[in-house]
Amino acid sequence: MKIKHLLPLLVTGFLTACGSEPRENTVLGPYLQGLQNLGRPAPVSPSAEDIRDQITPEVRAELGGAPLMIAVLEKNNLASVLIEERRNRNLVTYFTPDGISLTLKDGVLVGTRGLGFDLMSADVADILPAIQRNGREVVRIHRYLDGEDQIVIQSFVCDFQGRREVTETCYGDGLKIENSYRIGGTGKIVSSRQWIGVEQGYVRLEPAS
Amino acid sequence: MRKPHFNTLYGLLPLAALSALPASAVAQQSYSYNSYGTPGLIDMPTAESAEDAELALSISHFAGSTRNTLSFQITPRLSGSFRYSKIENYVGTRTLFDRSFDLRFRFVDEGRYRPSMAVGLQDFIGTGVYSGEYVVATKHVTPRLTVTGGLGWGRLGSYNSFTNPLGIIDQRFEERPVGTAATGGQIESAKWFRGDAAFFGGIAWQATDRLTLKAEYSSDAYPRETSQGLFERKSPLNFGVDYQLRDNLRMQAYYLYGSEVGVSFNVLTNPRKPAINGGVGPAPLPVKRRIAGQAGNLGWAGEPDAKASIQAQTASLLAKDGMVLEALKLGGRSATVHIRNDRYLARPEAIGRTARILTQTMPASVEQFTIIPVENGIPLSATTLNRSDMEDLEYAPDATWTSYARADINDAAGSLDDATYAADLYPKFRWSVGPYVSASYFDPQEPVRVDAGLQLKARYDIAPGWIVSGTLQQRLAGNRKDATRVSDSKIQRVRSDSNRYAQEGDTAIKDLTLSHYFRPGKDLYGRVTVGYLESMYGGISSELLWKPVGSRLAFGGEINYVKQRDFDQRLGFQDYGVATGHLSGYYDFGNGYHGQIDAGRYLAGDWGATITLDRTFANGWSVGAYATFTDVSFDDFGEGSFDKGLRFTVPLDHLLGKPTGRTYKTVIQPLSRDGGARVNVQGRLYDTVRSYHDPELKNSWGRFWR
Repeated sequence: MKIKHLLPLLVTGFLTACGSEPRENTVLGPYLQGLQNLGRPAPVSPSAEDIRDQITPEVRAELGGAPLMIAVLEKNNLASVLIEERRNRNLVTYFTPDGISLTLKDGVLVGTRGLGFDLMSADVADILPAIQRNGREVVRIHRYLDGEDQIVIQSFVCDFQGRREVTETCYGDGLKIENSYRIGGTGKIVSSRQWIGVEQGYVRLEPAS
Repeated sequence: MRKPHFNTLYGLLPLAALSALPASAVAQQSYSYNSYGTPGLIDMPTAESAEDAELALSISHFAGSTRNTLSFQITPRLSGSFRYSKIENYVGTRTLFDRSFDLRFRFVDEGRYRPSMAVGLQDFIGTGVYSGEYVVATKHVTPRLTVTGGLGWGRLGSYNSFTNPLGIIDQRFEERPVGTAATGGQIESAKWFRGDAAFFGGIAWQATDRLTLKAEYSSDAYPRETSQGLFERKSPLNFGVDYQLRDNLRMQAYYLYGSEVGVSFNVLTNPRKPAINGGVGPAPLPVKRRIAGQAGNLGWAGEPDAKASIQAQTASLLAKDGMVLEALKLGGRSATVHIRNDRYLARPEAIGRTARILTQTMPASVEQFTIIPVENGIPLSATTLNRSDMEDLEYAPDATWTSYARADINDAAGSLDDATYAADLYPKFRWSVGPYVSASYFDPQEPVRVDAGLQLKARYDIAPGWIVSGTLQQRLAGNRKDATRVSDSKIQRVRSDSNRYAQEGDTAIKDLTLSHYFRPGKDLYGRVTVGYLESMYGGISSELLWKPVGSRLAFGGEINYVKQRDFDQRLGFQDYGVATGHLSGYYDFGNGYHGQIDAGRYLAGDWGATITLDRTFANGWSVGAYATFTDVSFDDFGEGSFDKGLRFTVPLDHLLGKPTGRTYKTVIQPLSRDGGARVNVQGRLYDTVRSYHDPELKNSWGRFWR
């Protein structure tokens, strides 16, 4: 079998594939990228503190003065700045510089896009007042896409505790999740730790300054 | 270059593609595979079914026999397998290469006291080397321990056998007819469940989450293999160890028949489990809500450059999302945009992203968005959405269902008639240079042969719906031209000369055509293609498709006149020419099952019909099988008796976890001969049209808000 001889040819073929239009994706693209990075030290992901230091007044001006936040994905400790992109009534959508979005409704996470295994929507109508009033047995409903692009639902029953530091403990679908919110003087959520889903885990949202 | 037929890379090794699949999260499963690549013990089957839609590629070897099996769990109860085996010294000192197909149906589910039960046909088409039938029961005694017992016929009733109990029903069951059709490939139903029967059974114990130990009593006497001296069958008892190396990779070792050691590997994948649900990749633009009170303002319409700047802005935002703005019609209250989507296989995602972009670019008075995807210059469907729904439903709990219910999906014929096309789209020249791989399978001298080289693709869009395109290939390496098998066909050699094409076509014009796509009327789609249609045929091909936008049913007709091309695949033709064509019926049964019947005249001038059944998945996968019966007799057809095969579509998105718009398509034909062959013209209409219609759009509408 002469397949062995073909391999280098194919690899160079994929490397040299070119045309009148940019070729964004080749089969071997991700593998080649992996190869190129071999031997180099793994990039150190910045911490929330690093990012806070980088947000100078000049950077803020460059971003058009848009409100900023900092997000940390706990599962891989990846931190990123969040830039407010758009408000739709009480929905605020933030983008990371690499094009992932998080949407908050009065500070409560109702959706992510671009992470993979995204939270497509969250029904938090009863959650919002419950944060202020230590509600009990409040229903929270999450929607996700399954592998065949069908919407699947996860529902939880949640209890709340605390005044300035509110803890939300939810049970459902054999899972226990624990969100926490820090409430500022005006009654708004200042920072939080919220659950996205089984695969993505928790995200910490903090003010940028 | 990413047009639909450019997207599709034919001929890549399907098995290689399968084994490269990512570790889809295969849940801890209680079943394992046997040496025949089906859920079972060691050599014997069990009543278990694999996880729904699981594809398992298995390679097993013992005592000079190698079995390569591809199994698919067609429905939760029904599974099918295709096997290509090699048995050394089977006929004298000659090695036998054999193709076989299995089916298994689980007709009783396991209950508290009741075992699951299944009936199976092993090697039910073909020369019958492995043919046997069985009824089998499997029960979990504990969650980790299963006990299996069954009754086998044929090969599975050859050791310690007794008179067929079915003889009570009819004495004819007691005798199994001998011999098969000389050409093989026929369904040997006259033999099923006849002749002596025997018991088999065994246990499987899942010692840890990864390790399973198995023991069985085999009812297969291996009379032929033992008489040929392949091995000595000293005992009916077999022992095996199954170890899960990774989520999608298992390895097994066996001690068989008191004398032999065997091994096997299983690579598993499941179309229902892509690498990343929903995929990674840039988030869509958020919806921009209009400022209250602005909706009545039509002042913008008076500004001279308003439309041009709106069109430019829309085009640039679409381009960022991998789409092209073909044309825009702008009214005071409504806007119609024609888009080309080469990125999102989930078509609703393209529509949803476009609608989000329109909330950013359209003046506040525009309340209605009509989004019309266009491919090869023809509009495929028109989805009309209310802008206020986009504003209100973003992240609404039931946004998916509500947005689908409120969307109006209609036919789009004639929608481009008075549209202003975006500048610099027509005429347009595009080209690309890249590698190609072409393979041939199942030549007994070398079961897989591969050629590789470089190919130049070019495409010139003259005007909407008018396209010149071509592919030039230069072979650089490979062994396809070493194939020395000469066609022994008794009918016109329309496909069996493929070796000669491989030998003489070092530099080949694979295709070079002028094609025209058009909409003759509502629900109708048309195509005419002229030129070198494929590597073996050139001529003219015309097609008409009837597919209402919400219909599960579609009809098509295709008429071609083609001439056989010279082996060197340059510009010349041989003498043989034929008028060929089909009438086709397509039906979407729901739940992903899809059927197609094509009846008409094939390349060798033979008349007949092809039946195809596919299981399709909303994420772009499909797995199917087809069979063609024509008036060429089984004897004249030769080995295999009639044309049949398996076909696969694998979306690249499944592997990479991000939208690429590209799919791999491949057909596995156990025997490629001259009966029932069709011309391979590019750009057939149905798959493209259907993907932008209901029920397909509805099935993947979950992606509308992705």
